[in-house]
Order: sequence, then structure tokens, then C-alpha cells
Amino acid sequence: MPQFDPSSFASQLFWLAVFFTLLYQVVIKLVIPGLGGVMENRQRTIDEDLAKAADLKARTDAAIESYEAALAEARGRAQALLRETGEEIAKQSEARNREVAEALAQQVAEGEARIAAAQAAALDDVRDAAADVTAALTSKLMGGAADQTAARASVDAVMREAR
Amino acid sequence: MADPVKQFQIEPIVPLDLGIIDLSFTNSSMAMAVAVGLSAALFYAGTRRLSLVPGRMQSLAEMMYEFVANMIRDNVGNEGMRYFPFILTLFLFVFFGNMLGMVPGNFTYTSHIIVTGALALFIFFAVTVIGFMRHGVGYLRMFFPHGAPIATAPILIPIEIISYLSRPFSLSVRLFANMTVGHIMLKVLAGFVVSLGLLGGIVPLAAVVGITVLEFFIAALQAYVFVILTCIYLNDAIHMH
Repeated sequence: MPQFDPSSFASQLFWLAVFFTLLYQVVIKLVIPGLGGVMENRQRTIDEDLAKAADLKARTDAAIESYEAALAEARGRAQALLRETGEEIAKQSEARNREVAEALAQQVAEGEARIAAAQAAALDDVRDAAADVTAALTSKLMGGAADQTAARASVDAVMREAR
Repeated sequence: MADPVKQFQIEPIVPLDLGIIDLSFTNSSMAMAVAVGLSAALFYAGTRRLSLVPGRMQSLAEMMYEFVANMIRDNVGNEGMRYFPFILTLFLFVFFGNMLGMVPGNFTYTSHIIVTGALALFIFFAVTVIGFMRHGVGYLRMFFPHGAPIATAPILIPIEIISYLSRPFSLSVRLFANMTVGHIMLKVLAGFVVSLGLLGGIVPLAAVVGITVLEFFIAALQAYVFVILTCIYLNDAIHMH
């Protein structure tokens, strides 16, 4: 086999060294700076874009968070306001109720007093009338002037009995 | 029938006999030149108009670049990226050597033991030097695995030394034998096609077609194996085991 013929070894080794070194130079001078550079650049671009995206996402999250916090605060304030207003209205209406009730009670008491006075006045008139009638009847039946005072007393006695 | 090993014959193209040694530019040298030229052309075309979003040729060049880079990162780690230019050169040299050999009539320089042997020996010595530079005398611990009982040393150490020293042989013979045998097989089967005539030749012809496909696969695979073993040796030298 030609593979085991040493006469060609020197030439093969020599040219192997030459071309391998040449290819190594191509790799070092052309491939690594060119391709390696552009791929590194791409990786950096991708990394930067990813970092930017992450940053934007963080900011969006923060904005959403603050928005939600503001919303919750506003909702809380609205509820507090609603509750306070409700309590105030309830207090006011209660006070008004009490006032009105007092006024009504006073009016009722006044009316009752007036009724009682009217009743007393009417009773007095009735007694006077009854005493006059009694006195007139007595003088008509018995003749002579009737004792006004006695008539009044007896009417009073009868009325007290009737009561 | 043509001699199946005639395809491995070294033929001088430009004789250069220096009396003591013969450094003729041969068909083997020519194949190397074409391989280097093709690699350079591929990367030249791929890097002519560099852009962030790669074009067709740039993608192809980047694919090869990334393939080798990932192989080193996976097998050696980031420390191994220092040796990336050499490993990439090695891969391109062996890959294009194997692939060009698949072109009918072309010479396959990787089918010569002296070429694969020189590469393997260079790798062996380089890796050994890297190992001693990194770990000093401690690199000798390579020959005694961690955690093994001390009593096993008389058996283990010679075995480890032999397996370490046999690396360049297995590395070079694997590539050389694969390339040589594949090409001989193709030649022999192709010879049958001619000698069996129009009808009987169909069977070996079909076999030749199938084996050609297989040989393309082997050409790529052996280049990969050659380089990945280099990475594994390098990993041993850098990290030990």
C-alpha cells in the first residue's frame, strides 16, 4: 500500500505543515475577526434588546402597580366619603325628627291646655246657668227672692255628686 | 480490474527533490491546497458582507463556526475557547479532506497514516504540554483516577499510561482506516460493475450508490469524531478527571 511507503513521508509532512499553517492563518486573520466579531456583536445586540425589553416590562409593571394603588386609594376615599356622608345625613335627619317631635308635643300640650281651659270655662258657664235656673225656679215655686248663694252651693253639690 | 490501492498512490506534480529529502508538490499536496482554498473561499464568501442578520453564505460559515464553537464549549468549557482557532482549523482541514476525497478522481489526503498520524501526534504533544503547563507535576495524577484504592495503583497506573500513550494511535488509525477502507470498498465494488457486465452489474452498482451515501456520512462523521476526541483530550488536560 502506498500509505506505508516512507519515500513520500517527507513531502506529505512538509506540505501538511504548510497548508495547515496557511489554513490556521486564514482562520485567525479572516474567520475569527470577521465572523467572530459579527456574532459577538449580534449576541451583544440580542442581550441589549433583551435587557431593554426586561427594563420596559419592569417599568410597565411599576406603572400598573402605581395605577392600581391609586385606584384602590381613590376607591377607599370614595367609600369613606360615602360612609361619612351617610352618617351625617342620618344624624341630621334624626335631629330634625327630634325637633319636629318636640314641637309637635309642645303644640299638643298647648292644645290640651286650651281644651282644658275651655272645658273649665264651659263648666263654669253651665254651673252659673244651672244656679240661675235653680234660683229662678225656686223663686217661681216658692215666691220671694231666692238666695243666689244657696242655689249656687246646691248646684255645686249636685255636680260634685254627678261627677 | 484496476488496482484498488492505486488511488492512494502519491504522484509528484512539481518535483522538488532536495537530494537528502524529497519535498515534491504531489497530488496529496494539491488536495490539501484545494481544501484550504475551499475553506478560505467559504469563509471569504461568508464574511464579505457581514451583517447582523446573516445572508446565505454567512449562515453557512456561521454554522460551521458555531458547530465547532459549541463542540468546544460543551466538551471543554469556556477555557477551551482559547484553542478555538486551532480546533476550527483542524475540523476544516479534516472535513474538507474527507469530503474532497468523495469527489471521483480526487486524492484523499486523510487516507494516509502519515498525515493523520502527524496531526494526532501534534495534538497529543500539544495536549500534554497544556496539561503540564496548567497543573505542573500534578498532571501525572491523570494516571491514577481519583478515589481508587491505593492498592490498585500497580495495575491502574500502567493501564492509564498505556491508554494515554495509545491516544495518538487510535486517533490517527481511526481516521486513516475509515477513509482507506471506504475508498477501497468503493473501488472494488465499482470494479465488479464493469466485470459483471450490463445485467449482473446492477447489483454492485446499487451497492456502490448506497455505500457512496454511507461514505459521505462517514466522511463527515470521522471529521466530527476526530475533532471531538481532540476536545475530550483537551478537556482532560485542562480539567483532569
